Amino acid sequence: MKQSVEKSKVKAKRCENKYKNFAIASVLILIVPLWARFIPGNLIHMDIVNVMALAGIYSCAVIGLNLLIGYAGQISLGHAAFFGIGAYSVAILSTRYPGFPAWLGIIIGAIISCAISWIVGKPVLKLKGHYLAMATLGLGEIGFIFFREATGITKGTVGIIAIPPLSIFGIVIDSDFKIFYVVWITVLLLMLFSMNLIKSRFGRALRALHSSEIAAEAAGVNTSKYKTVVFVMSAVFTAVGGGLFAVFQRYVNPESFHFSVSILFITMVVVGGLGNLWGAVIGSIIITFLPSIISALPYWFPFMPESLTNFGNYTLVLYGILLIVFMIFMPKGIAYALEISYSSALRGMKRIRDRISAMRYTKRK
Amino acid sequence: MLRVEKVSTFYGNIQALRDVTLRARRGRITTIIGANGAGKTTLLRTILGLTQARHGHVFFEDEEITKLPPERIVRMGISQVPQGRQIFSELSVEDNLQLGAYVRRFKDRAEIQRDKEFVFELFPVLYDRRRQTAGTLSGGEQQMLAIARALMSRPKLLLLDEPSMGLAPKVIQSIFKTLFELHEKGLTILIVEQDAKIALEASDYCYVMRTGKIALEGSAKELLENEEVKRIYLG
Repeated sequence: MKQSVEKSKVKAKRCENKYKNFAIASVLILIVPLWARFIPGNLIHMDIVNVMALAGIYSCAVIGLNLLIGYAGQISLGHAAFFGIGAYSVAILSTRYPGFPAWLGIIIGAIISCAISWIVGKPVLKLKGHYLAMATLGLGEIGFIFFREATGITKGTVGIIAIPPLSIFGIVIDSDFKIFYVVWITVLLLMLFSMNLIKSRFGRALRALHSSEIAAEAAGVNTSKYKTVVFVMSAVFTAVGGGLFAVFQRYVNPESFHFSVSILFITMVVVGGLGNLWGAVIGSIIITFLPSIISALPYWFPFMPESLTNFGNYTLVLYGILLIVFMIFMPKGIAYALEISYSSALRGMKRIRDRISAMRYTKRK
Repeated sequence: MLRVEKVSTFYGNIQALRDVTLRARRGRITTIIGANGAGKTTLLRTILGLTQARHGHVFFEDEEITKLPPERIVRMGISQVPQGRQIFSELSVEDNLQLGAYVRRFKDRAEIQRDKEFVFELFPVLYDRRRQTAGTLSGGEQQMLAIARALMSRPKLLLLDEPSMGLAPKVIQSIFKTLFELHEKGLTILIVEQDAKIALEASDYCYVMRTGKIALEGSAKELLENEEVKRIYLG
C-alpha cells in the first residue's frame, strides 16, 4: 500500500514536471510580442512578431508531420496539399459568402482534409519507404495542380485576394499582434494534445510500429489502422495551419502550396528533431526566421560585398544543405542537442558548486 | 488446442504452404523443424492471422480463427515470439512489456502489473534493466524480453519462431529451461526451429516441413530414430 502511494507520488511529480516545462515554454513564447515591440525596426530589419506568427502557423503542420514521420516512421512528401486545402477552404468560403465566419472555414478545411487523407491514406500507407514517398509526392502534385488549374474555384495563379480577417467572439483579428496569439495558442493546444497522445497507449503503439512492424502486429496492434489514423491526424493539423495561413496572409495563391513547401515542412521536422515534440516547434521557428535573416544580412553588414550577403534567391538550396548536414551530423535535431547541452550544463554547474563547497570546507580546516 | 487443417497460403502467386495439417495438443510442446524457406514462419504468420490463408481452416479451442484479425486472435490466447526477436529497440524494457499487453483492457491494469512482476521473476535480469532502452540488451536478454513480452498477453498457446537463432548454446539452454518451467505451469507451446537437435530434445511431438508441406510427423522419440531425419537434419 505504502509503495503504491509512493509510486503515485512519483508519477504525480513526473506529471508536474512535464507540465512545468510546457508552462515555461508557453510563457517564453507568449511574451515574445511584449519585448519585440521595443526593438526598433530599423535596427534588425525584420518584424519578429510577424515572422513568429508565420513560424507558429508552420508549427501546426510540422507538429502533425512529426507525429507521422518522427513517431510512426512514415514519410509524406505531399503535406503542402493539406496545407493548401486548409487555406483555400477559408479563402473560398469567406470571399464567396460575405460574412462567413473564418473559424468555421478552418474547421471545414480540417474536415475536408480529414476525409481526403482517410481515403488516400488507406491504400497509400500500405506502401513503404520510397514507394510511400513517391505516392505522397503524387498527392502533393495533384493538390498543387488543382489549386493552379481549377480557376473557377481557386482563381488559378492569380490567387484569392482580400480574405476577410478572422474574428473570434466579436474580436477582429486584424493585426500581427493579435494573430500571433491566436496562432500560438492553437499551437500550444496541439502540443498539449500531442504530448498526451504520445504518452498514451496509442502513442506507445505508434512508437512500436516504428520500431518493429512485425512485432507490433504480432502483439495485436492493427498497424494499418494506426498508420491511417496518424496520417489523418497530421493532415488535420496541417489543414488547421493552412487555415490560419489564409487569415494571416489575407491572400492565397498556389505558390504557397508548392512541392517545395512539403520539403520545407520536412526540413523543419528534421532540423528540430525527428520524434521530438518541441523539436517541431523549434525547427519551425529557426527555418522560418532563416529567409528573414538572409534578407536582413545586407543591412547588418553594409560593408560586405553584395555577392556575399545577397543570397536571398538561394534559400531553397540552403534548405537542401541544411537537410543533408542535419541528417549526417545531427540526426536527432536541435531539440536533442539543446536537451543534452542543458543537462550537461546543469551537471557542470553542480560540479562547480561541489568544488566551491569543497574548497570552503578545506579552508575552514 | 490448435488445429490447422489443409491450409494453403500464397504470397501473390507463390504458394508458401501446401495443405498443411497439424495439431498442437493442450499442455504439450510441439515443434516444427525444417530448412530455410520450408514455410515454417509463414505457418506461424497464418495461425496468428498476419497472413491470410487462401484455403483451409485454423481452429483454436474448437473455434475457427482463420479469418479473424490478429488482435482478436491474440486476445483469444495465442501469442507469438517473432523470428529474430523483433523487440522494440528504441523503447524501454518496461514499455516493451506494456506493448505485449496491448490487447488487454485498461481495467486490467492491476493484473498487467502482476503479470509484469511474474515475468520479472522469470527473467530477473530484465527487472534490473527495466528502464534501459531495449536495443542496449544483449542477444540473449533480447530473446528473454521477446518471450516476456509475448507472455504479457496471457497466452494459452505460445508460438516461438526460432528462439535459438544467433544465441550461444549456454543461453539457449537457459531459455529452454524457462520454457520448460512455463510448460510445467500449463502453457502449451509450439516451437519452430531450424536446429533439429534442440527441437527434438525439447518436444513431445514433432513435424518436419519441406517446401511448404508436412513431410514427416511423429513423437520426438520416433523421429530421433528415423533414418532420414538423422541423415538430413541431425547430420
